[in-house]
Parts: sequence; structure tokens; C-alpha cells
Amino acid sequence: MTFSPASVDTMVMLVAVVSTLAILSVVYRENAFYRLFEHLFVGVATGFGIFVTWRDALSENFWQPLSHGSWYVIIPMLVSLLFYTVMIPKYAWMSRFLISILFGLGAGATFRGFATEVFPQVKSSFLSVVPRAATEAGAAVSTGQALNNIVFLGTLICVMVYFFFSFRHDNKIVTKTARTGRWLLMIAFGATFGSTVMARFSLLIDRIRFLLESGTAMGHWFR
Amino acid sequence: MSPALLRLLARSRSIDRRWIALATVLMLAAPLIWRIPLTMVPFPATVKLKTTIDAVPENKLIIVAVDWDSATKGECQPLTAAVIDYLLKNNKKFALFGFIPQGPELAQRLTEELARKYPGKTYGKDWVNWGYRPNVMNTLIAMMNDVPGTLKTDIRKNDLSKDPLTQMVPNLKEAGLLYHVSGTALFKSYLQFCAGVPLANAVTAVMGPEQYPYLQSGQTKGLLVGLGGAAQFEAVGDFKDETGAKGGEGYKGMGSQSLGHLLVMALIVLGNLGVWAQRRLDETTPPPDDEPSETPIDDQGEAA
Repeated sequence: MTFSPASVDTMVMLVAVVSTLAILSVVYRENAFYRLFEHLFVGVATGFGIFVTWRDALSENFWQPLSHGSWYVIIPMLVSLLFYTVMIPKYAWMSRFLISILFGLGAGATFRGFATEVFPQVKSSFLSVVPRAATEAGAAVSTGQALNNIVFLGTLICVMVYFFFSFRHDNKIVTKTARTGRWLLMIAFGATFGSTVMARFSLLIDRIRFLLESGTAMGHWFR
Repeated sequence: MSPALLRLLARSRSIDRRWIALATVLMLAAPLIWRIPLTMVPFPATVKLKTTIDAVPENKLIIVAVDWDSATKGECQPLTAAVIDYLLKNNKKFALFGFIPQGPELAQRLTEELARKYPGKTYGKDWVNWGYRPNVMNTLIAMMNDVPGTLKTDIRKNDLSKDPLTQMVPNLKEAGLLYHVSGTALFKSYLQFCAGVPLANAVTAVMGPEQYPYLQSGQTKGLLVGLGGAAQFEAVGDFKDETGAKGGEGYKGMGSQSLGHLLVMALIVLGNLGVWAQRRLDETTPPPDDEPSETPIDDQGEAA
């Protein structure tokens, strides 16, 4: 039995519509229909991940070289299998070799990553709070920019003082600065909350649009 | 205020969540059926992204890293579509790539769909898809030295060492721009291991506020945040949809976003009014005389 491309598209759309409705049905109440499709989603995503990992990574880096006579690729594969000795208590110590190598690699990479990620930000926080004309040392700073920089530096100092936990905040200046820092953090959390609402709405808008477009398409088929 | 009105307002504290869900769906669906004309005011970060893309020379390849999947498709697809559409329109060559299995597959389907708008745009000539690769850190470090040697083949199993587009980037430092779209924190890996590569990024709205420090420090050359970011880019890129109306996928969703936000604000006000009304009712209504003030407890510590 063969299917035309159009009928395959129709079936795919129907499956997607039923899946979307099943997942959204949890809004009404927890139900078996929702749970079935939730498990299906996890299963399909995992299966797809395994297939793509084989096709794009393992096949060309391991299987193809091996089948073309590059027998040595079996060495890293065997070494990587040492991870699974963690399941056999008698040989579990062998997995520690790999774990310790990964720890070392991770620590080194994190150190390097921290430097390349954070140092430019430290550098860019040295801002002029005084308006000035352009010089060889740097670009011009307008009055507006200088005001922006004052707000930026004030926020930076207040928030950093709030996170000084190594001494008691009993000095009046420190207490007030830390409290201002807390308020500024609240404003930032408010912005994040607003963005979260936007993010969640975007996901629902995508599904509603899909259902509306599918409804229109199906309406044409049944006409 | 009359007690009846106060009681009515106080009831707003316990509206069934299903009514709220229904109201949300209706508010979000209405602008998708009856389009609301909106004017998008682009942020400087959006304009900066367009300027950065425009400045990429013709002999340089732009890499679009698509680290998203179906879970964040609602936001990441418009963010990817806006930039890919702009690249196709302006004859910029690009490569798709990702560290999340579904990303390059979804982006490939999207690109094929967008390319139909521009006759003559074909796979292999205008764009290439390097596919998915695992292990972010090692792959990026290796790509900084040798892109075709690290990736070897594209999703169609073509040899990348012979691919004319991939030859434009012997290593990542030679890329004209790396535009990263994601709902994950993977952009940090690019910042950490791709020093010297011009980077720009787009994130889901929930991640937006934490990306601005990278923009201020110049580590990212442009930033799009959420569906609003996609709509803004469509505005600066002068996009038109299939009916000739202004904007694209992002623009269409922004009417729903606006009504949705109005609904949330109205519900917050209503909920607060409900709390206030209940407090007023508690203050004005005396407690009944026959109600016991405390449940007596017997010697064993159990309620009598």
C-alpha cells in the first residue's frame, strides 16, 4: 500500500492536532489522554535524539571509519565503555579514570571560560560618569550617557553590597545601600517575570495559530 | 461601597483557573483571526543586529546556530525565520548548525519553506546544513581550528572539505558572524570557547534580561528577545507577508501578545481588588457570637 504525499501531510497534520489538544487538555484537568501523549512525546523525542546522534556523530566518526578498515577507532570506543563498569561493583574503580579526566578537563575549561566570559564585562563596567569630548583615549560621552552610566554604576555598587555576606550589615550606610540593592534586584526580577509571561504566551500563540491553520486546511478537505 | 459589590469583588480571588485559561485562549486567538494593526518600535539591539549582518562581506559565511527544539519552537522559530529570511533576501550565504538534535532538522524545513519565496535559492549554493553534533565544548574548540575536519559531512552526507560554502570558513574565526538562537544557556559556551568570533544572539523572552550585560560589553553584536524581538527585526528588515501586509511570523503574534498582557494586567488588578474587598468585609462584618474562638484540645493533644 502506498500513500500520496498529500495524504501523508494530512495524516501528519491530524496527528499533530490530536497531540496538541491532548497536551492542552491538562488545563481542564489531569487525564489519561494527556498522560498518554506526554509519554509519547518523551519517547519520540528520545528516539529522534538517538537516531540523529547515530546519523550525525557515531556513524561518521566511528562506524564508517571502522568499516573502512580504520580499526584503531575501536580504542576510544573501548575506553569510553569503561564508564559502564560503574554498574559492576567489583570493577567500578575503572570508571574513575574517565571521571577524573573529565573533571580535570571541565575544571580547566571552566577557568578559561570564566576568563573569556566575565573579564570583558568587568572591563566594560569602567564607565565615565563625566560628559566629555572624544579623545584618543576614548569615545565622546554625552550628558545622557553620563547619566546612564551613573545609574549603571549605582546599581552595580548597591547590588554588590547586598551580596556581601562575609560581614554583618550593621553600618547604616551599608544597610541602606544593601536595601537599595535588594529593591533594584526586585525590579530586575519583575522584568524577568514580565518576560516569562511573554515567553509562555508565545508558545501558546504558536499552538493556537497551528490549530487555526489546521482547522482551515481541514475545512477545505471536507468541503 | 455596598457590601454586595464588595462580596462580588471578593469572589474574584477564587475564579476557577479554567475560566482564566479560556479567557486567555480567546484573547490570544482573536488577533490571529482579526489582525490588529501594530507599529513596532525596534530596540537599538535589534537595529545593531541588522547593521552587523549588513556589514558582513560577501566572501564571508554567516553561521546560524539553531539550539532549539519543539519545546521552544513558538519563540525560537520566528527568531530564526526572521534572520534567515533576511539573509536569503540579501544574498548572504549561511550555514545551519546546532547542539540540540531537533534544531538543524527544524531549521532545514523552515529554510526550504522560506527559500521558495526567492527563486534560484538552493541548498548547497546559498546555504548548507552541518547538522547536529554532540559535546559542545570539544566540538567548539575543534571548530576554532578546523571546521570541515571537525564536522566532516553535512546532513545530506556531502563531504564538507569539498563544499564551497564550508570552504569559506576553514576555522570559526573566519566566520562573518555567528548568530545563535536558543532557549537554553548554550550561548555562554560560544562566549567561552569562541573568542574572536563575531557573535550575535536571539533568546526566548524569559532569558532576555540576563543577556543585556553581554550586549553592553560588546560580546554580542546584536540581540533579539522573544517574539517581540522577531517582530522588531521584521520591522527594521522591511518584511512583508504573503498578503503584502507589514511583517512576518513575529508580527502576527504580537497582537495576541498585547491582548494577553492586557488580560494579565486586568487579572492582577482584579485579584488585588478582591483581596482589598475581603479585607473591608472582614473589618465591617462583626464575627458571629456563637462561633467558638478556639477548638478545645483534650489531655492527649487531640481536638475534642
